[in-house]
Amino acid sequence: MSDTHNWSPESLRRQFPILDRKVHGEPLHYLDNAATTFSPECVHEAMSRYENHYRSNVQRGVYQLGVESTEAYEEARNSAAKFLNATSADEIIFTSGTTFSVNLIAYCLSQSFKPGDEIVVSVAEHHSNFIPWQRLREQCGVEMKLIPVLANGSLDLSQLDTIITDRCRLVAVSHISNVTGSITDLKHITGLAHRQGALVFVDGAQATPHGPVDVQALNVDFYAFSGHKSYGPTGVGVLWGRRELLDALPPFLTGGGMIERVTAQTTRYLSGNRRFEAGTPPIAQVIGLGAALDWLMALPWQEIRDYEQKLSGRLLAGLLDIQGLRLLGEQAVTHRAPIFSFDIESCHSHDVCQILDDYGVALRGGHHCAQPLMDALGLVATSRASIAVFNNESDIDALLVALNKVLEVLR
Amino acid sequence: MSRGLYDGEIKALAASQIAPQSLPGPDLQISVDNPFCGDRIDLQLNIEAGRVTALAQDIRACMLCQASANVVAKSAIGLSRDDIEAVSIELTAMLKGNDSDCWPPVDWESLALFEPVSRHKSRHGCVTLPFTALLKALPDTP
Repeated sequence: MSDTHNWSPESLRRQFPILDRKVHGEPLHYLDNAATTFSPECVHEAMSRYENHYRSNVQRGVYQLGVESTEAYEEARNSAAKFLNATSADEIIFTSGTTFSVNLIAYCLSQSFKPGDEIVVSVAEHHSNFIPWQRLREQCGVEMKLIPVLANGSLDLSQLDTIITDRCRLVAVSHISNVTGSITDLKHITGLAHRQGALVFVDGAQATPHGPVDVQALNVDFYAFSGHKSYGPTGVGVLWGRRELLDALPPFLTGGGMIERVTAQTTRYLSGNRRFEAGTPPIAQVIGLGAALDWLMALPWQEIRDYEQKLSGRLLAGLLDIQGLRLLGEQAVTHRAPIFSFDIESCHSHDVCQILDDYGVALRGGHHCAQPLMDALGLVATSRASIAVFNNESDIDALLVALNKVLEVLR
Repeated sequence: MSRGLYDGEIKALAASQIAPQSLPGPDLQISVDNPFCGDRIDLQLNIEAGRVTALAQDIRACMLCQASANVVAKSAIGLSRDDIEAVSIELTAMLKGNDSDCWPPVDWESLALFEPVSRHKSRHGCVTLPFTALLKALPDTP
């Protein structure tokens, strides 16, 4: 766990041994954190401890190892509840990630949807928070209404009160866009949705890497995030839901670990979150995620945010200096997360990112699993730089220098 | 390393607009996407007796895909599906690093420019997408 009193970018970087490696003989400048962040050593140690000292199943064994693994697993649930400021750990469901969480909620809610019901989703959603709702439209006859975007890709909420009607059952939006870095005005959306009796599901995958979230203050109904984008392991995520809502939902997957009693004729399910964790869960990953969330909660977030904004300002200034560069999202660093997607005239993002790799700079190029947004903006792909707490000025400068090399090659 | 991927010849090939973007009365048309990156080709063809007589394509893609599409536009006219499939098989083999005495195929010599792409597995689909589009559009040879 980090020492909040002695925080510095360099002390933080020392907790990420992967940053020591080189790529093509160059120092690694990893700026694809919106896809996957690196994990600090404490996460690896927590998972290794489980594997080497008490590997066993959870919620089953009465022997010592089983008790220890169950305790560690439930401790991770407590960490997740604390990280999200949930009212109880009973509101936390461990899943394989945000995609699974959205599908879980879509399936479970659909059991009570009927033709004519409406779901509101934004054009800017990641496919994982878009396709499940499209499927419901096809399967249940619900109408899917879209929140449009402004020219910079941020949500256009100006007509929201006409989009969310009394037929709306659910609004599903991301907390922070994985493409534009724009921060969604959740309070505004939640206010309108709840007034019409609709629930609000939030894809928080890009928000949780930037500090703890308060689901009670946001007044949302469901919130999901992924471990691998939040300094934790891959293959694990968290779905939070209000307890009374979880109790009312039918199961998603069925099997061991989610039942009260099974007879030859019927099954009685556990209530609340336990109903949704069928089968042996990803125990090591959950324990690793718990360590990551503890680590995140121990960081001095005001200082970190100031630091991220400083890096963002440096990057923004450099990007906006490039002729023919179109930046998506807000231009003020105080009104956005440190995720920067850009399109350079006559330079395709895959070519840009390919050449950046020569200089050890790792950026994502492509549609970022947000093709409806790309279509709305008249783009097929963008290059995306996304900053994590371990990035430093050297990473930003390396990107900007390498971008100039890219332009020399491609233009 | 990207050395060789963006040489002058590839850049010139990508920049050359060999085919029009659309045909007045296409016999066949298809859109294909590279799911990895979102590259897209809208392809239109005229055919006669199973052979390509005219080709148009609207390409929103990376430089490698554009260059490859222009090779296709230059060399596919007059060929049947079987002819094009044979070239596609040779191209895929080259990208996978398999040596062949038939490489580069006759009349498709500019495909040799893509040899450096063989080192970049994530980019193979960029080069093969124009062939995928053509093969999807053309009916099987009777």
